[in-house]
Amino acid sequence: MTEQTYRDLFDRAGPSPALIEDTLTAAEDRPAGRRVPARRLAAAVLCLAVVLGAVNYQALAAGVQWMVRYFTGVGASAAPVMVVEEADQWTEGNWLCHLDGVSQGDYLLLELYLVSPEEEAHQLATRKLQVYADGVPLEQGDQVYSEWLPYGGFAPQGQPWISLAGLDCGPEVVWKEEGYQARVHMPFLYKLPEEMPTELTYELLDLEEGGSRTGSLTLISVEAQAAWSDSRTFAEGTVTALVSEDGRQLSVYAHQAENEDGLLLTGASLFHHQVTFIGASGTRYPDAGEGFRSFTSGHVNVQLAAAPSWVEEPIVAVEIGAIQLVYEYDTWWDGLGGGMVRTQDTVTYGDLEWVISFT
Amino acid sequence: MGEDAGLRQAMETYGDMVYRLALAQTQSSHDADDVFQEVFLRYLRSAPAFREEEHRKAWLLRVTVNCCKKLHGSFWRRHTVALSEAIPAQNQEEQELLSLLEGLPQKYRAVLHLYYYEGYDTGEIAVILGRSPNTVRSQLARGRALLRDAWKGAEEL
Repeated sequence: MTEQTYRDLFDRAGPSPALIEDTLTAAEDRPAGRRVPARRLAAAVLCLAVVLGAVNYQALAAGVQWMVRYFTGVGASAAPVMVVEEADQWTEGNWLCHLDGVSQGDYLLLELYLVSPEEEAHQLATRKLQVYADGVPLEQGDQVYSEWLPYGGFAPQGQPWISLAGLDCGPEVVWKEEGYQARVHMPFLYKLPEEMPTELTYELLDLEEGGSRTGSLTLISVEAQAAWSDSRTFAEGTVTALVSEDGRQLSVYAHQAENEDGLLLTGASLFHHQVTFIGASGTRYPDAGEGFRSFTSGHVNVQLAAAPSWVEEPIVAVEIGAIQLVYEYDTWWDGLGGGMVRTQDTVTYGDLEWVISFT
Repeated sequence: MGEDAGLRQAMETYGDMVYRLALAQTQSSHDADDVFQEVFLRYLRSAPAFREEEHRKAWLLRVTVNCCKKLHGSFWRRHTVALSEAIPAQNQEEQELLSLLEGLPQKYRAVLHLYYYEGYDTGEIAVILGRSPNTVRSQLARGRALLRDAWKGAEEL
């Protein structure tokens, strides 16, 4: 009964002629292939390392657990979260390009990925992205810029290519399965106008090779309910974890407040392998690796981890093993044109054993 | 053959297969439309050179399932439309099966569809989906049991 009925049902389904024509049109509309030859740059990467004094963070971690009936916004505190409705994708020669984004409060984070079928080791990619709302260019954000330049003064500032072999979460997983081998990730940050736009246009410039691409993006609101919440306070500030009612989704956000040393905590990132969902039987399930926004810009910090969809038993607890905090502070710059400069840095806390239990 | 002619031919040959799998997996005609378009644009963009036609078919099936998973993983972009709106039932038996399919967890849908509709065996499905044969056998058994139990339960009512 079932098998034949199943076949009879699906025999009647198929793509409409309009869908086929739309697909052909979309294929024709894609930008003409423009190979951007990788350019060898003798990369001198400047690293500003700030070593914090050893802190007994477990003693500082003051956990207060409570239940929240309703919470709006994924990973947000009071700031509303919007996401790009549909990521823009195109090709440049053999490269696949993918532009996606999320906004939180007044800031918009756009993330450009270039994916290559070849290992692009030791190369840097450079781009400038101008974004417009109603034809007016958006202001560049702080700390993360709207351009990755070939040279900033004396040093190249492009983003390095990374092999996909070692990445096992996020959009990279699918690209890896499709045979791509390396990717570049370029984040861009903008300040949104008071009147929150939902329609944006952009122009992406290749500053080294010339050429540009224009396109549009639509922002839509997202809403999620969190039933459980738990906070921890570290030397840099407080982080709150939010868990959905069924325990299957976890998000974290940083309380953006300045501490007495003038240090401002701006973001918190989860690590894929450091999130564990615990079932009623005691079985521990790793994060599914999908839905992550692991990049923390300093103003946009949307994080999401989820239990694997194949887990059938109820989830009774979530454990966070490690977390990375992003913070800003003023520091003295001795170099040319010296003076106080705003600096962003990160610190990672491991062995947290931060368990949020729902029982 | 030009790129667009090749794309048209691929859609003519495999369009129904891709669309039906996408519909079985997402249970939404809107999502199936999105997946269909994404699969064939990816085909144009990044499909490797296939030595055999069977490889082309398997590649399309796998990319379809991946696109569905991506859509499903993005929980804030998910559509919720009943399967029965996409394929209206023509008799009571079909109506009952549609209700059962709508309650079937997502993880069993692709395996059941490839087995029931496309006629692949569990070893072939494992290769196409990149899962272990044991996982596929267990998902198929569980999916069929869910459908069978629910069907039996409905008949007893």
